[in-house]
Amino acid sequence: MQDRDNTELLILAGRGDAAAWHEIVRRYVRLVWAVPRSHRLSPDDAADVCQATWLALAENLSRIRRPDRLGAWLVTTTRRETLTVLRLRGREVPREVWEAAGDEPTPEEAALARDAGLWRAYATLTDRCREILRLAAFAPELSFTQVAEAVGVPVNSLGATRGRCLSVLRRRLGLGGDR
Amino acid sequence: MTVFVSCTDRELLDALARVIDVLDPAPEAVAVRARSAFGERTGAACLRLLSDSVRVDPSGGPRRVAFTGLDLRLELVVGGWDVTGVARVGTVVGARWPGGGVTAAVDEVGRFRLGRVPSGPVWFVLRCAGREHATPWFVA
Repeated sequence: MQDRDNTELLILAGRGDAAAWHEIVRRYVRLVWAVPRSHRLSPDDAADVCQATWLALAENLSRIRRPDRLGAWLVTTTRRETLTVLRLRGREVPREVWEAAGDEPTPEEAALARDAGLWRAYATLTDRCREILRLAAFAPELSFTQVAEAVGVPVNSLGATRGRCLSVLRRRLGLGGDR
Repeated sequence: MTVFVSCTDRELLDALARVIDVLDPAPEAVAVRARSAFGERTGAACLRLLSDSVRVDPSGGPRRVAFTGLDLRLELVVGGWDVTGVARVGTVVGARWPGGGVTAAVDEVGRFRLGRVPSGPVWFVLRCAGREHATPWFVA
């Protein structure tokens, strides 16, 4: 199934082919999860939002007009539900998911410390920056237009916004921000 | 984090993707639930969302969600939501969630009471003239 494009997968899944559905899930489960988590929804609420998105897609397999934009459809659908649940539940306090590394790091610990620094810098960004960068990180195939539509910013300002987000991330990593 | 000094934007984003995959990965349970969503398809006709009070006034009180032909009132109770409403057509209303569901008769003026519906993904189904009309899935 991995060599099938989205159009083929949607047609096959619409005919009841579970393997095609599993391939769609495999391709996009990470991207769909990224949306509620970049808005700091709790893991439980994020899981509910993701499931609602997959249930909606399963019900609408034959109604996806642009299979090449399936990623953007999933992001838009997930984001809409994310924002509703945020209003419903109120904001969650982000979990601290990292413990500091020891004094004398092993190579593995050094790598983890490097990653922790990047995670901490990312975690301090605004919701909008986290969402844009997470989409850019996980779905580089999405066009600027698709990302702009999905996150609700004008397409002509997305490039500048994304650039500012990366600059802030670099600054918080201590790298300046002039790239 | 001098290790990132010479990174291009793409390399930095790739590093970010790796870090997120390690520190906040999509749980396997989420993938399992995504795969199982395939078995929940019904092919029911769609009731369109008209309004959702949470999107307008998230300050509190019962949640009121209106669809074409169906008005819902969801009040938070222990373990979920107490659901009542009005159906403009149909004789039976149901709530479904993955792995479960409940139905209730519509009275002569269109009112119904479904009782407790668990928090999480849910949709509502209106049975009318032998056909089912369903709301989109949403998180309650």
